Amino acid sequence: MMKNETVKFAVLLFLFAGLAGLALGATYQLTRERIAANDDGVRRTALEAVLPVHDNNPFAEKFAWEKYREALLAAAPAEFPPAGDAFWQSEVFPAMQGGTWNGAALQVERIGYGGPVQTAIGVDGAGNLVNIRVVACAQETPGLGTKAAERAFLDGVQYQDPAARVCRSLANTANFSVNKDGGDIAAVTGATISSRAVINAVAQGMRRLAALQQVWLAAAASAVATDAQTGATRPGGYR
Amino acid sequence: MSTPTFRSELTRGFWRENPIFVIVLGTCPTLAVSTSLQNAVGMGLAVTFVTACSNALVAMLRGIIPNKIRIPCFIVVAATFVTITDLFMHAFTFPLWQALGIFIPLIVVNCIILGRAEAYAYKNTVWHATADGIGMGLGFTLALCAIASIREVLGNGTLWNVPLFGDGFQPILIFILAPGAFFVFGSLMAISNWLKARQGGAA
Repeated sequence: MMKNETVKFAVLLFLFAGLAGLALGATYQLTRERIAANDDGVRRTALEAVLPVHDNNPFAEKFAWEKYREALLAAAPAEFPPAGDAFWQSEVFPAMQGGTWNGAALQVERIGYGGPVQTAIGVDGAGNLVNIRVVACAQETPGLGTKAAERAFLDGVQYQDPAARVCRSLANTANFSVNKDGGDIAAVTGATISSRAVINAVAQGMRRLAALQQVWLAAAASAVATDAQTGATRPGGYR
Repeated sequence: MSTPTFRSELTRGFWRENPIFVIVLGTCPTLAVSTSLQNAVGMGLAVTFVTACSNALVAMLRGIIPNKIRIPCFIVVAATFVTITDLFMHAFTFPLWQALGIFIPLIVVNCIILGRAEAYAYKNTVWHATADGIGMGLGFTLALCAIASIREVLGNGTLWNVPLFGDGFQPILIFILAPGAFFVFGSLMAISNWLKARQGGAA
């Protein structure tokens, strides 16, 4: 009797969970494409907003870091994870002006207080942080950590001198980290961890872009040299 | 007690049996989310929607669900419902989802849903259970808004993201932090109890 009841309950629960699973699966299938399109739209809007001045189509010319992995690891081994890391599949959106490198936009990510904090940054050819925008910080404390996504804080990250609108670069900011770590940038009061996630991700992104710019220019120069030898011409400049 | 009607079941949660100040259910999301009025309204409405639907579904299925395994069944109902809501909002009401998205998964762990399924919906008709769900959800929203207004004004100097004071105002940061949440919550609960005691004394 007892055993029968247990089996009955197990079967019932199993059916119940199975039905719930079916409902969830159906909903997921139904909504998957729209959700992906919505999320892509947000990312694209953020990247469009932060891109430096360009006359190309950065979204058509995007590439994964993987493309320059060997050269980057040779040039700045301390800034990059080893080959095979998921980082190498992340993308760079290059801004070209008159056929040459004028910086890029990319999305950087660090773990904040509750989860990943994603930030989109744009850095121009001179290494200036021309724009910054927090794409996602959904798991930060509402009203506290989420302030790291607000302009009041981000202005302090972007500008070395907010009044004169002087953008930060690795050159004019000696210590690109949060003030509690001895750095030059003020954190949101009470949300040092969220602030640190943004600032450290931005600083690393800028160092990596600086390395990428060197590698890209060297590759472009050697392509020009090769073209001069072989007499080939390339449509679209050095690309 | 008089016969329950849709209206009596609906309004019960507003004040007399307010889920936060009287029943003291779902205090975890209450403390976490009541940092700004906007968050409070968003969370409150999302909870109202889910409590109403889960109450209705539990009342509908109460003939099928055996007593001994009712709790796991309630949890499956609530969790499924919350996830479906989350997916649909993410796909079809994207701006709203962006504003409320962080609160939707939190609703599963809100005890109000399980509490009402167990204490009310499992023993009552679909009609009354739905009224109870909406009422409890709105009562939760009201209480959350009360806490959030105080915390946002004192802790951030704004209300609905509109600055109330000049630049000279120094916000009392502790009200945005967790200890401030307990402080406001406790004070409001005391006021609510005091008012109830006075009402009771007069009657």
